Amino acid sequence: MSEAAARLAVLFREQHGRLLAQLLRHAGTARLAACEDALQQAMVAALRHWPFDGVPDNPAGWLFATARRALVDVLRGASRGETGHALDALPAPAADAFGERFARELDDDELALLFAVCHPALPPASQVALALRTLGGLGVRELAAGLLTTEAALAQRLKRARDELAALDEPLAVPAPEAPPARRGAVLTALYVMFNEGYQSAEGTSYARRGLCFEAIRLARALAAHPVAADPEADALAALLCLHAARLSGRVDADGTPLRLPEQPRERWDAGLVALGHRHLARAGRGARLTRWHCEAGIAAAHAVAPSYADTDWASIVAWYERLLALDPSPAPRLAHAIALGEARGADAGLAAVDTVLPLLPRERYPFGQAARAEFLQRLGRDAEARAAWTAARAQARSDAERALIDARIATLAPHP
Amino acid sequence: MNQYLLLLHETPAAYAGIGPEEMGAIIERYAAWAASLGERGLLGPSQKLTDDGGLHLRRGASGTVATDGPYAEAKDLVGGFFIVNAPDRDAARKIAETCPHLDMAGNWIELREVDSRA
Repeated sequence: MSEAAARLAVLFREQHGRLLAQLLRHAGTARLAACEDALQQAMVAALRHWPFDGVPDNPAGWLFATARRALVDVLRGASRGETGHALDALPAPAADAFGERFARELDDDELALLFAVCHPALPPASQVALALRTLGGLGVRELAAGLLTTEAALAQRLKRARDELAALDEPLAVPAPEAPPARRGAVLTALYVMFNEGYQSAEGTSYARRGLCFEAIRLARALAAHPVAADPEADALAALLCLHAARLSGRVDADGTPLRLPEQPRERWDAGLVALGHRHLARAGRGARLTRWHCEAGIAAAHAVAPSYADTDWASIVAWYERLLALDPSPAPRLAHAIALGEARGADAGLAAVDTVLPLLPRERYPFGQAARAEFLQRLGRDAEARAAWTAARAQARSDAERALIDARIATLAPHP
Repeated sequence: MNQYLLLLHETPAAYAGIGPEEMGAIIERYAAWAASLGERGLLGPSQKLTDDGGLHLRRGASGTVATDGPYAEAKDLVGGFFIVNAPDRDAARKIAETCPHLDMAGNWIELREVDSRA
């Protein structure tokens, strides 16, 4: 994509959340669907007018004026008599420095919109879809591709969520610092889920999937930078997401085959994102409360700074996992802790730790427990047992890519007796 | 040089699902296309038309009758036009084939030559 096209894409994406939030502030969250409609009409109008007229000097102002007109029409059509008179008084937004990439922080209206769509009454999957649609400005087609669902299913999910928000009809506002932490927690969790939707997948390199990761980072960073809503937890989450995203481009080889952490070319990790992650991590330390975001960011940071897999500070990673387990003793972090333990103290210790967790892990479509066991057995030279564990892992693999990865490991074992 | 009219047929409803990346890319492709033709003096006037479909006028025995043209909800609407200069129809066709209008599914271009024979 050319630079001009990318700048336009950023404009559409950023203005989507900002303009929608401004329309909503006056129309009310009960009219979310109408506001989204109106804004979509304005975006399509831009797409159809600008090829003839060129991009206007104040593109945000153009979009806003068009969306406001469309909203008045939509509301008139919906309920005769009740018009958008409050909208006529809406001031047009000032001209933005066009193409100012990611520099702008979210304003209060957008942040209020983020809190509105991440309402704890909605299922997390709906919060994520709605946040991406409203604040990220993602089209339904790319959003469906990113969330690995169909356009029809996604439209249904969005509609149910909008209806639910309309029924709640809460005022659009950033919660005060003394507001219940549940509201903040819900937003952070939604951003974490949004990121993982893009990250936890073999198709994680496709543009749509990466878009989810970067949108989650943009929102987390905006939250962390906000004068009122910012708290150390938001910084910890932003740190975690930046540090994970730094590894995105090193996770597959030239053919798109996934690479395991030890084989990833670390020179392809994004140094800028690593630095950004560390900046947020330093700020995350200012609070008294240690959260799971802090622990996970600590682990990601240890990986990000390690020159190689072997030269990783495994003792520090084990310590972070132990703090994490105190907050969340569920099987997945326990397995990760067991693996780190094996790297820190040797394959014997790792194998013993993995074996205690193994009975707790899901029996289907979860190859990681058996794979960890196989890895340690192989290091101990117990090839026959390793082969059995790899075979058990293979039976639970979720994709051809995972099966190929396991087959490659089996091929390194001593030939079958 | 002859003049050719590119009538841009489209289905406005098809634009609804487009995301920001695609929008940015489409608008930019138009800008590049127009600039490239403009530099070579090949681009004439161009205009966007409104979506109301206009009026179809006919004179009958009892006077002139006006009917509405197709609305935006219609499958096919002329959304605008470009006029380009080209030595012959093949050259005009080549220009039309590079027009970003064709990148959208459902869109098509009606290419007409301005009859300049005296």
